[in-house]
Amino acid sequence: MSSKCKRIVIDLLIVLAICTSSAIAVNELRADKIPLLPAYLKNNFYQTVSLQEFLKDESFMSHCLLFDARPHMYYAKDSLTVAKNFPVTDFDFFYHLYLPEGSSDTPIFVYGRTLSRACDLELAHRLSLKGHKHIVIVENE
Amino acid sequence: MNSIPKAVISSHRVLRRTTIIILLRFWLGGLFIYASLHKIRDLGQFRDAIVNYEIVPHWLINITAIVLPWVEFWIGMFLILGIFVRSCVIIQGLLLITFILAIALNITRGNEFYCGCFGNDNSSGMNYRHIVFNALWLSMAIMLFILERRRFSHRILRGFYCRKQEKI
Repeated sequence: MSSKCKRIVIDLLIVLAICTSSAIAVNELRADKIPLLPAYLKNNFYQTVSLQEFLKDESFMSHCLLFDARPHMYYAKDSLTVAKNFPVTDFDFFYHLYLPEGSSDTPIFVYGRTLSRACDLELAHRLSLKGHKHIVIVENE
Repeated sequence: MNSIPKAVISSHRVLRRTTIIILLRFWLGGLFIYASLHKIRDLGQFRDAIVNYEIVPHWLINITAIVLPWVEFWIGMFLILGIFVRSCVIIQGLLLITFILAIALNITRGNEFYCGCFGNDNSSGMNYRHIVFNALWLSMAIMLFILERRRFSHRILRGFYCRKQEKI
């Protein structure tokens, strides 16, 4: 590698180091800071069930709630007919709509993941923060 | 007829080239600083904009939202100050290529959402105009990379760097 290229690579690394360190430092100081990794990745101990298994066993559907956590655009394109759309982006609104007080013991099955948003994990995490204990992720893979 | 001395022609060319370099540096630098400020101010909104693009994996979203505005800010700053110009232009070029691809991909997908470029105004929807502007800025960045062959644009910094090299 020529000395000019080496110099450019070193400069690139210096610039990226300055950018990354200042970004992390300022984010830590902010009142509205966002975590480096989504909170649901740190607390991901939910039970899982495959979609085929879920559809096979009708007893699941009779006594539980099934939510599709993706935005409405994805829900409208393809979703299970029994699933209710519970977009995680409007959590508070849909929470009061679907889960009245005292329903924390109802088993909840959560479904739906996009490339950039693990909607199922995020919804499961937020529901668990509200005190729901029986949450199962329906995996579609 | 008096012929113009070669030295005068040469100095005029250098002056013209220096002027173009300064204009490009200030334009591209100012643009990136302006684009970064609202993202730094409203991190949550910028994070949502990245999510809408559906090209970054979910575990990388927060890191991208935190770091990208500061990359834009420091690149803009360094370009205006004339420090690490070529390296900054390389990063800027890569970012602009990524933006073009991301916008083009979402236009072909038929998605309509706030693009996250310059604040949350109504004109920030997704359309081909964004691709044209990004391509224009990319060509300006390429021009700057070709014209500016020095590590530091300022004589003071260059002198300091050269003296350090001589000592070594």
